[in-house]
Amino acid sequence: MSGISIQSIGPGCQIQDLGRPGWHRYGITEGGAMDRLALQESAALLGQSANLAGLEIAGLGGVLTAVGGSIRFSLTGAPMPARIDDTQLEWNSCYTLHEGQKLITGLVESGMYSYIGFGGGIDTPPELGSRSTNVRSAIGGYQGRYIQAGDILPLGESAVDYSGSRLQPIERLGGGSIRVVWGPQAYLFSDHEQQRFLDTQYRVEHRLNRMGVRLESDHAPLKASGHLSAVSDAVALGDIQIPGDGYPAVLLADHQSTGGYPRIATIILADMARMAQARPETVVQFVAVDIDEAVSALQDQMQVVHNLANTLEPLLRNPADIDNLLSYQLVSGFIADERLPWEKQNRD
Amino acid sequence: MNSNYDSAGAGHLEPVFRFAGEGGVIVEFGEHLNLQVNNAALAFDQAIHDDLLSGIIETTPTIRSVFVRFDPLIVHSRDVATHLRGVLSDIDWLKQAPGGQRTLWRVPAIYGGNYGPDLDRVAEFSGRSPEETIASHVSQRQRVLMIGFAPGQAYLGILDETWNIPRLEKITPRVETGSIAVAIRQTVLFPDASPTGWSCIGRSPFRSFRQGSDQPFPLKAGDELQFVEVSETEFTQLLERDRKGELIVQGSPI
Repeated sequence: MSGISIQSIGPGCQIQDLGRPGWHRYGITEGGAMDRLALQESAALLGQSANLAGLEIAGLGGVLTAVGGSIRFSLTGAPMPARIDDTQLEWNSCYTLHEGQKLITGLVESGMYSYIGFGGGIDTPPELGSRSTNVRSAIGGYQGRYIQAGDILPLGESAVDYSGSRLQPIERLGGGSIRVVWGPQAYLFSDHEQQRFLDTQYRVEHRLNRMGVRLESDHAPLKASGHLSAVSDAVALGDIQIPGDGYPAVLLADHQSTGGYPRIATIILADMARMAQARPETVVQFVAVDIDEAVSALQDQMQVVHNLANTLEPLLRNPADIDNLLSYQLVSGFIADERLPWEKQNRD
Repeated sequence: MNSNYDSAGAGHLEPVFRFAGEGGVIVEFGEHLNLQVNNAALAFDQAIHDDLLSGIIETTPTIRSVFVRFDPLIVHSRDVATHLRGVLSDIDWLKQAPGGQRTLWRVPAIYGGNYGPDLDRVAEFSGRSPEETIASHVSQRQRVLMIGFAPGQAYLGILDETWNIPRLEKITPRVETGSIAVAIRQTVLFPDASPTGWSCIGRSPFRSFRQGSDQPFPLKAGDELQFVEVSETEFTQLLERDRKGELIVQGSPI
């Protein structure tokens, strides 16, 4: 049986699949990949189910090697510089890594979350129906924690053995317009405040994690005109809460199951990946749609997802098949500094 | 006194439907903390499952509402709402008792000292001794109003009026696993170390998230719970048994 050995890896790397629905009533939300479309793209590239587990990397990659045989892998989501030994790889592609080779990924170039998928998926024991990791509660993944150097992760059996394809990713990096439906407590905000919410260009703050992101703007905070019950309610993925300071908090994959702040709007499912991939400083602006439009957008997206496998193109050449490689532009080592890129602004 | 407890209760109240995204509907039975509102939420939750509409992924009962999550590619939210209104019919949901199989749990607890650093303050707030405070807490059978915020974290209530303690202005950075904290006529049982704005009066050796076991969440909304005071020696023994995977709380059917 094959596996991957983690030689080095940035912080914030964890095993994710499509999550564990059905436990919300016990205080565990579905979780799963922040960018679910990246898992769909990985599945299309590798010719397997989208619910097989892969690695979600938050900003800084590392060095992986194959153990027990060659492995197939895919690179989707936020792009990073990637190479097998000295040969540069393309993003949104799949390759084969042989024993003795190193898969090296670097600092994310755009977006937030990068995904390395594997033929057969990562085969750790599921917990509560899923291999997704919830680090806060130490559930799932590999020992319920971030992946570290020294970890060896077993892979499942793969039904296919081809690699060397690429696809056109579903466009979703760079923020921009995010569609929402009015939320369960939209009634607490006047028409004027609701319009201001839509008119404001928000920036993703540096305060973010898998549970959610805060947004900031140059405009005055939003004010609820009614009083919300102090008794907590169940909250949903994509809910946009307006806490006391009047600036939005968007709930993402690992959000808590209940909350007490008014929710002005909820991001439509089709735009959740775009929101999750918006890194700090990215500008987003909310556009109100009705439920029919939200459903329609999701249907359209699912059609694209289902058709992904038909859009695969061969890579010009698969470096794994070439013995004597000419050097392309070498990535001259990657930066070993473990801080996330945005944490290094304005320092020194 | 700043209270979110609504003693008005009773009467026929029209539940309010709210949408949470294109894949979620919330049915609210009231605004405030009220046992009858909680009855309605729990009974409605059970009724949904007695006649489960295709496309519904899960339901979450809370203190005052039920959150219904569904796949919008299978069923439209307006059809979900129509179906749910049918389930509600004309029944006065404020009179419903919670449905389904319910369990009364006896849960060991140790109060005060390092286990409950806020016991003295809570006692002073209600104008009685710490011993009387403990006696009051263990004498009241509490309902599991909901499980939320963290895996297995139970919100219990409704305690009598002497327990209407406001939440703290300053958050305590960390209370330990099993901590028993109180505020606004409720008790929270923490399954994990956590920050909190509630007042910590004791601790249970029972971890309400039994990770890795075949019964990870013994407590469920609608169950009832009675705390049983134990000695420090008993606490230590029970803690060891719990962490070794034994179910240390006794449940009997209600």
